[in-house]
Amino acid sequence: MWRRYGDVTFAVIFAVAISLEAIPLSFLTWTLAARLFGHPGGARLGSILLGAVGAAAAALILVTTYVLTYAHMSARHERTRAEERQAWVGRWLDILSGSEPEPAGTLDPEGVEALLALRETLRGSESTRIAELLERHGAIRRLERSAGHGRPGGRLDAIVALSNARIPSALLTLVNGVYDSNQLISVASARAAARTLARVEDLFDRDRGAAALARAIETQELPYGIVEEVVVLSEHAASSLIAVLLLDDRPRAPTVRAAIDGIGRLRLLSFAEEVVPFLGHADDEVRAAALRAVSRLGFLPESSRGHVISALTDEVDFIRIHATAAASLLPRAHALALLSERLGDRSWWVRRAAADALVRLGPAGLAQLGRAARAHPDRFARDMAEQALRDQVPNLVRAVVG
Amino acid sequence: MATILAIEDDWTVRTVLEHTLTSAGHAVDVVRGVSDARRSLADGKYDMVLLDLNLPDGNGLDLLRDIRRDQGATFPVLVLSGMRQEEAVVRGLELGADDYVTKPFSPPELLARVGRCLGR
Repeated sequence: MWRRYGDVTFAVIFAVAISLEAIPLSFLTWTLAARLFGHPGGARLGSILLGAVGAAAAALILVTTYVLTYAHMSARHERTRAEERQAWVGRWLDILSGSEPEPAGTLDPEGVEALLALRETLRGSESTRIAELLERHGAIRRLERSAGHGRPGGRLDAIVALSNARIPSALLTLVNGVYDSNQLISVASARAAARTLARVEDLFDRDRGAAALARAIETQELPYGIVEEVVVLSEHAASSLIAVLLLDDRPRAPTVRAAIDGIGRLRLLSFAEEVVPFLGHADDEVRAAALRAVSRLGFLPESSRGHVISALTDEVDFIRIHATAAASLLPRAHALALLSERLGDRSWWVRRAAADALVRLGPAGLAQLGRAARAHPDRFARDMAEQALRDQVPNLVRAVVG
Repeated sequence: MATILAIEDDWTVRTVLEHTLTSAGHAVDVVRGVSDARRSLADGKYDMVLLDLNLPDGNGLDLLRDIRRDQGATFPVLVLSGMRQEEAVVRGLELGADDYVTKPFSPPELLARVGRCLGR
């Protein structure tokens, strides 16, 4: 969007421009209609035509002048603000290093933005001191107020700023934002709350915050993609959040999927046992997520091998793809045989997944690919095996030559 | 003290790097992208390079490869990147980086690593 501010000015300018066009055009239409019905007025028509052209030109000049002036002023304003922010960053660094005294009173917006940018950039004791500065100067309190009230644009800006600040004391404000009826506010608040939860050090507060966030997510029935993002963004606190999401009496399938995918993506081995029961879940998407997580975690207990083996011949293509990837966790001889069989699957994606899984099995897998390329009964399996081996040539050359 | 070239597009990180390294007594030049970096490196006056990976006009890893392989430069290169994935770190070190620091970073830790790279 080219314009961020000045909604009222924009609306007035366009109302005037459209009126300038509409009024003479109405007169023109009226005069032409009158002439059609036998009321000639030649001299009047000429002047109305001239007026319409003049009005159109005036409207165009008005709009163009506004757009150009806005663009120029906006660029100058942004440049000035960027310079002020940069100056503030230097000043804050001096303050942090103790070579300049801390400013007193309320900070201007550029000072706050500079602190937020530094909070994003630095970690360790400096980052903690920046958080203290933000709280001490009342910036967080003001952002929390703006996040809860006012126009959606201003609220979103405040939520994003709180998301960058990641101050634990603002967590409940952000969780409350998840309940907002405006979906944009709700989703932005969920993301910001997850990032903030990641910074909550106290284990009790973390669990309490995770429970509140999980409740908000479930009440608002946020979709799978958002829940997964929230889980991943919560970083170190993901375990607390996943535990609450999976403990729910009757968790929604999208929530379970997101939690299981989070376990796999974040490699949360402590949840490996929790994933296993979902390998037999009735929902295809949940089953696929469990297979993905098993592959990522590299954990497949003996009692669950049957689920993976039966999923290799599932009717649903994407289940077979993920089962094929997970099959590399089966005992070596069994895995080689099953993956070789999958090289002849009807889906190209499953064949590719089987070839990739064989590559991951190392020399034994490559040897199996070689045998499949020469003698697999299925022509497509032979092609896939050959292609996978060809793809490995650069890696082999790099391994040998460096 | 050393003359260091920092290749970084984010204005906050640039300011932090300038401030941190200058206050430690180093001379610092900061450029925003790969093409500016190539021009600066042609002078041959730098003792060390701090390199971001995601730059507006190219990939820092390509620049690193060129520095090491084509130009045969031996000065230390410290990668400073937001990419935390194991593959990115390994790739950076394989291509000849002396160290890899992920963002967000701690200025004292960065200074310590810069000192260690320069001392080698």
